[in-house]
Amino acid sequence: MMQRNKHILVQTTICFVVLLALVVVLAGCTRGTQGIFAELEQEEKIFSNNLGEGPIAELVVSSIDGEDSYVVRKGIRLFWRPVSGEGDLPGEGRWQDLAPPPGARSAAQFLAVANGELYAVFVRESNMDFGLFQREGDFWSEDLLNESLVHRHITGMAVVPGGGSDDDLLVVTAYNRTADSNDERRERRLIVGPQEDSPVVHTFDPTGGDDLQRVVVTDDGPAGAGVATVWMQGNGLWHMPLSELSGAANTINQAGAPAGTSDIAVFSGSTTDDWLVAVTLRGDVWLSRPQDGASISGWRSSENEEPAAQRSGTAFSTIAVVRNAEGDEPGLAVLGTRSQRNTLARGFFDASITPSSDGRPEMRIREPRGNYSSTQMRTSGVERFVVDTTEVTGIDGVRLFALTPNLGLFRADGYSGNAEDRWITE
Amino acid sequence: MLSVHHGSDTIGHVIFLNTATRSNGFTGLRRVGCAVLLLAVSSVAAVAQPLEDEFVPTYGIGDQMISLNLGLFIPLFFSGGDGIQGTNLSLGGTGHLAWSGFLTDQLAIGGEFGGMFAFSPNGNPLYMVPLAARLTYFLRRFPFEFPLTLAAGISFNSFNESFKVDPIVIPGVGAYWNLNTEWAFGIDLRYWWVPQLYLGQSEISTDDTRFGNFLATTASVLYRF
Repeated sequence: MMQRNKHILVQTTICFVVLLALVVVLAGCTRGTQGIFAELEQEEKIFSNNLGEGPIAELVVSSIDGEDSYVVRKGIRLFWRPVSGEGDLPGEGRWQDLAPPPGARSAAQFLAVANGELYAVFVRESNMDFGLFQREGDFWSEDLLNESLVHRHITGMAVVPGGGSDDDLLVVTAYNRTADSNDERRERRLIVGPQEDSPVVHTFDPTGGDDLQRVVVTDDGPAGAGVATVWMQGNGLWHMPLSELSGAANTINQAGAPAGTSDIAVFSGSTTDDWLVAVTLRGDVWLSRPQDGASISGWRSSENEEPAAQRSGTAFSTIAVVRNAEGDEPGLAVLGTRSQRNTLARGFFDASITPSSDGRPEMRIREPRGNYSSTQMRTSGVERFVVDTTEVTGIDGVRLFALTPNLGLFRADGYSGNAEDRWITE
Repeated sequence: MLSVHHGSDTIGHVIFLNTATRSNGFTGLRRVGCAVLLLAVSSVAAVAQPLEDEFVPTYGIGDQMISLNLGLFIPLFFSGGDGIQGTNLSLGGTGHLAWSGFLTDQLAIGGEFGGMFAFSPNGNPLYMVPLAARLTYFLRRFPFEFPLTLAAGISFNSFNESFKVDPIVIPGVGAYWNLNTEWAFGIDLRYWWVPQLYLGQSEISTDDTRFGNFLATTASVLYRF
């Protein structure tokens, strides 16, 4: 009996020692960017509209049925809702299906708004050719694509803003299935005004520019010493002078870009010229001042060509400038990430941009504030941001939309990068 | 050893467990496993002769007990940040499996393994899985007994993409009715105190340190062997 009692006591002692060792060893095990209880304490119910989860590829603002509306491409389908809901509740306007034009398959490819008109590229029902359709009131137009382009494979569409009534609609074609020679078949082209009777056709040199993910324009600088330039991001960075865009057919040259560039944006400070900002899948943010010349020789934030900001282990997928710097008020950008295994590198980040005394912006990346941590965005990624400046009653500032690859569309009204920011899901 | 008392006298009705198998660890584990199985499968259907009023069981070293608890998890509040703050958690569920060995008739020592879940306002689940040592003191008035328990150990906590191992202390009180010398049924009320300390060793700010306060109320089945 005594031996048995001793045996039990020994076993119990061993258990306690093991437990104590576990406490010591495991007490430091931590994963995450925020305390669990602290995060729970701050979580708020996220309002949800009816768009649901899924990949959101594009969002534009256009007139649908005579109302200013948001139009999104969710997968291959289009949805729309009025910019202003009927009441004051966020997201009260419900999303509705936007049917494809007659004669087109239901798969929408690209969306763009030029001169206030909504354009969409669909695959035509009769064959595998593309068609370009314009929304006219409650209906879609006939196919507007210039006849010379009908056998070409459209791989991107964008708009170069020209002040509201002088916008240029662009499409990129990457393949001409009816061309005679292989070289001609593979030629990539930029078409300016594909809906016009006489579109301008530029050629990418060398063969590249498969798609058109982002188009931005930098101005010619305060003294007009530089060259206003159109920058096109998509399988490389391409550029051409703005003045040549609608001119004679020309060759589009490739610019040097940081390795792994995924998106570009333009930032202008109150005392600086326009700066091109590029984000990369390596987690870098680079700056360049294109007024130094239309051809960029180097991307830098300082003389030794270091990135302006970095976040290791993070793949930046997109960038949008929410506001430029004004006086002492720093500018604000948002950096989306591509979802990956590193759970600390998902979602998106804020970046403050402050012009320094020599005019060179300084960037600082930080975790978003407000109710961001309560949203599912942080477990996913953001493929694109859309900054909407449409004036909406009761909203001070811009509306920021975050387009996610799997969790639908998120919206924050009056986003300013502070603790008051509130995201809802559309 | 399990003795059955008659009034204040031991009547000498002593049940010896098979001590020959105790020295074999594997067999011991198998016995515990069998006991768990017994609890799960036959607790409700346990058929045993009701104790006669005159029998009062006592326990000592060598006697063991295992219990299974299931019930509600009630989030109370967080402290340590800006004062007392709500947890934002829904009512949840909890359960645990506990084993103890008697040191004396009143005192038992052992361990427990359990878990809980509750949901945030956006439906994200919080999971806490405590692994703890426990000390139990029994107040008895046959056929009822009122165990006072103190458990302490570690809790594996997970929420969204975050994970942390925290210390946990669980004081509790129960009320049980003994069906016979082996089976007892009752309820437990336990307070979970989880200090979640961030000491600046990770990316997380020390400002995120919180003390979690929760209540678990469970129904329990207890088997002694």
